[in-house]
Amino acid sequence: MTKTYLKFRSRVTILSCCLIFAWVGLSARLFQIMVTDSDFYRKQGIKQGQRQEPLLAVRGNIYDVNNTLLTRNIIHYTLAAHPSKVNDINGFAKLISESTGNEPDYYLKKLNSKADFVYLDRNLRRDKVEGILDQRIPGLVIDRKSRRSYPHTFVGAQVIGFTDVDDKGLTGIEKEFNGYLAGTNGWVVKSINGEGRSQVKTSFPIKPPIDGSNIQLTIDLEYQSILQEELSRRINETSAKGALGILMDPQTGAVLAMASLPDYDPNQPGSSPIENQKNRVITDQFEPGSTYKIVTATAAVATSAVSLYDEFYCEDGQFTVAGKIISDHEKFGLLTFSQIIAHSSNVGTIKIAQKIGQNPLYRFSRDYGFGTTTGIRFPGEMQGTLRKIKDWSEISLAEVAIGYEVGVTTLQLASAYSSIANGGFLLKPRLVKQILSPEGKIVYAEKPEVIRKVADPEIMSTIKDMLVQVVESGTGTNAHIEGWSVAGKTGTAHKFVDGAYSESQYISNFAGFFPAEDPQVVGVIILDEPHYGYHWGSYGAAPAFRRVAQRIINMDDSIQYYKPRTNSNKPVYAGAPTQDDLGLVPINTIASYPKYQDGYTIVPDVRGMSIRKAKQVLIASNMRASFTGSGHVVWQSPKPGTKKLPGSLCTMGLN
Amino acid sequence: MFLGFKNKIITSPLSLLLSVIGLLTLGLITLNSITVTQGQAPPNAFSKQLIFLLPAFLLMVAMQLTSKRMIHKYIFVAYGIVIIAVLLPFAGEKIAGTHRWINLGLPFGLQPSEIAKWVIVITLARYLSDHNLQMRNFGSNIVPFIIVLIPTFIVLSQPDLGTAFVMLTPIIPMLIWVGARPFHLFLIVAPLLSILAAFNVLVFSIWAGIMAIVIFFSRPKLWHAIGLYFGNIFLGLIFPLMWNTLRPFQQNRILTFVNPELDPLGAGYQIIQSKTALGSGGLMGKGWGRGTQTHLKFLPVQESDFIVSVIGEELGFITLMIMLVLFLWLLIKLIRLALNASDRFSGLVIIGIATIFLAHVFVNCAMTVGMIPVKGLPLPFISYGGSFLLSSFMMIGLVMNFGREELD
Repeated sequence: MTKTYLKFRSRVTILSCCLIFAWVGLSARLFQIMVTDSDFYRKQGIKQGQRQEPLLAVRGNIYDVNNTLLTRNIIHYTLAAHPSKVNDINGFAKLISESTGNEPDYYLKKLNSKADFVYLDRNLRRDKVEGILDQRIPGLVIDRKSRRSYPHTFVGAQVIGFTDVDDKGLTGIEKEFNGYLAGTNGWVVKSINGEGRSQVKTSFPIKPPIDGSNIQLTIDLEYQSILQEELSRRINETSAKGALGILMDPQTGAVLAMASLPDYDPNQPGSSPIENQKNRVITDQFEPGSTYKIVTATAAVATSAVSLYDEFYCEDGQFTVAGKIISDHEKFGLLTFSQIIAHSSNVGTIKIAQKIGQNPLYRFSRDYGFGTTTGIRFPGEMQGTLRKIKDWSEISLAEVAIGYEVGVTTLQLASAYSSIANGGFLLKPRLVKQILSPEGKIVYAEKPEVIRKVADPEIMSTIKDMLVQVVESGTGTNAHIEGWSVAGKTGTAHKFVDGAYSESQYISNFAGFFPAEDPQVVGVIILDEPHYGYHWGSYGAAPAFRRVAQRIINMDDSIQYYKPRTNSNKPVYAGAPTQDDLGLVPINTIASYPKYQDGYTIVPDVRGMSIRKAKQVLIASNMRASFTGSGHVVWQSPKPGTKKLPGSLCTMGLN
Repeated sequence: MFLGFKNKIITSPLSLLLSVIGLLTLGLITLNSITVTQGQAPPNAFSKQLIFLLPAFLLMVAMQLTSKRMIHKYIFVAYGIVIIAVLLPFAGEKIAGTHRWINLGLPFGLQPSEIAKWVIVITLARYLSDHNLQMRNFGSNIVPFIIVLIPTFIVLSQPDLGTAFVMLTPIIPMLIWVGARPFHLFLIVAPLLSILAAFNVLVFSIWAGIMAIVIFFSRPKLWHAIGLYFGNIFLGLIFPLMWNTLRPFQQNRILTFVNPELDPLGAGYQIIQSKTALGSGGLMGKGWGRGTQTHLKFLPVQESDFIVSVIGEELGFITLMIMLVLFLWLLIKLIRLALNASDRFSGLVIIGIATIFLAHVFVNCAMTVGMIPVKGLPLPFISYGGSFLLSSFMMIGLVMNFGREELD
């Protein structure tokens, strides 16, 4: 030990102690992290190196009954950015604006915000992001998302409904069957690095998404278009506030078309008032007025309280029940039961009802399905109003008999008329035919379902005859179609406004079906507050029904008229096919005649066809078509089988 | 003359180089793993570090051969030049948000504060050895602090908190080495501790007690003792009031500067990643080039500040222990050289340089394991960084020069 060492001993000790202290501290800490807690950090390291990312399922589509696509999934792009990671903000904004077409300033404003993450633009179509999609621009985030689009916009909008930004059904079928449509999202585990870039490794687990199922509706897009067009036209003509309409197949309960106007565009639901999104055919009730008289009539026939030939004095259009004056639209004297319905006499109907009594009237109201939901799979169905007999007042019998004091939905009315058309069976109305999984397996289907038997076929046949009379010679003549038998009933109801029946606001409605002998389509048309004059069911709603029916007959081959009306005073054209003949008409007329022979064309036989079908056949044979009348082709000139030059005119008469 | 050079080199404590070479090798292996595994083409961290080794070695030899007397004579001039050099970056553009580097048109920037570290040490050594016999006098402690604080404040405002801290550290061990009274050092450090303790009532009470005991046993004059004690108490009481007059954002700015971990997405993230890398390495490490935390770039500034985490992840706890032993061996060797130094000036220089190395190693490692807030300080001989490599080798050269046993 040197002298120097002794002198510095304490100083060396202090410094060495500091050194040892620091080293022991560091070693202990390193031991704790790297040996004791090693497992924890190892797991954390593995965890942060992986990320589970969702694999989005594609939403199922909705089709009409003929497999026409009613919805579409379109890929949209959303642009966002981390402003702090952008090197050159001005160049960045310019680059994006060149691609999307927006002003650079629009993006600069957002990029200059303090936020860590900003959305630049949402829901862009692919062509708008084409330029920047494949470039790896630092700080730019491109999110790909599928979004619902509705190619037919207004047509069937309330039935189909629409989805929110996350593609969740908000209204209509989209909402009711969201569980089927949505599918199940899958996921994939990706390895990521510190800069957030990810890549898929095949060894990592993956759960593929299950795409949503496709729905086939009973709605026929052609029927739906016709209904919506005609309702819209009628609104313009009558200055009505709105219009409702439904077309149904009475034999199966399938809804063919369902419309509520004013309507909206499901692609931009925000641009119309929110009430327009409601499918008011199902969700709104109203007092129907005379269309409800079928209940009184059925009760009368079924209980045999009144015979068809009983006559009632209609008090010259006015009489008093329980202190309330009931009046007719016309002064009637003595009318038979059938005539009372045909001319829609309130006085007469009430007198019949008084003979039947409260119980049968209530029972048949119930049996026709009024006052209960129909059970259709659709969100927000209204059950309507039908008060129990114990809640009836003195005047209730009279009021219910002519369609007041009850609230019905358009759908209930259509169901009730369907049961008359099909011989007495109340069917559950349905909008969905079937739901198919992506593999094509049926996962859900709605078959025709009988709720109950309302009355015997003979009774319904009697009621049907009365309804035919309405159109032939009663209030419903405006719904008459030449050569066709239409059954129906008009209704004119005062609206119940602020606790009293209004004298200026009416519901004009018409319910009916055709062809009466073998009903294939039931239709109900409601006009809400049409201009005075059109407020009568016979002048407001009936013509709209006729136009819809006529266009359907012209369009749809499957609707055949049952037989020429023998009691019609119309001349029956020679060569018009009878029901028996129709069975002999070759289904494929084109195949039976070769198209060309030495440059000539052979005139095909188009007799018995609808306009549309006839046109198709003629165009296929290189001929031009000219029509007179409506319905089906009863005669044609030139004769079938004639040799003509291509482009020749074929004139046809229809009935 | 060449014979003289040869003698000078032979008589140097060359064994120091063994630990330096060991550390350097470990650093190069690690840098090579980073650049090779991540596919970085030269010029990369590894190749640049290799290139810098040549001038570093030459500068080391130059420092070893420069006459000790010359250094002693002109060190105050050097100090003046260094102060100017540290100010120079403020005239240029900011690089990476700071005024640390001088751009001379070379492919790399030069960092004058690296040189300033050891120039300050030698300046201090000169002053302290000149005033050796007056060190028991409190007033003599003031000038050394001024010598250190001037460049420290300049560097602090560049801003470079880490380097400023390293500049500040040598003064205390050097004062102890030269024989300053511990009580005087206590006087200087006390106000700072008073301010820090003032934020917690309990800590402040304990601190007041310690202060009373220390003052009692040091037996100063009575009015000195009273003034000292109540001066410190007053400072501790007044400081929180001054602090509260600052706006919250001003407080945050100061707090974040002192402790960057308060910014959770910045430094807090770095610490988590550093610990995750170390922990997932475990006892033996994942193997060279297999550190996923490192190579997937979760680990930030992996070539310099967090290179310890890379070594830990790939080569394991054992290798880190070997590294720490190499550093410890180097530092103990330096203390022994200081002890056996032929004169007081040489001893002080060696102690100062040893402290600089110690500060670098401790701050870097402690930051890596989350014991202290994140300060950007590299690890000597291991981290990538040109100026720092040059500076480190120059310091080794100086130590070998000053630790030589004088034969003449």
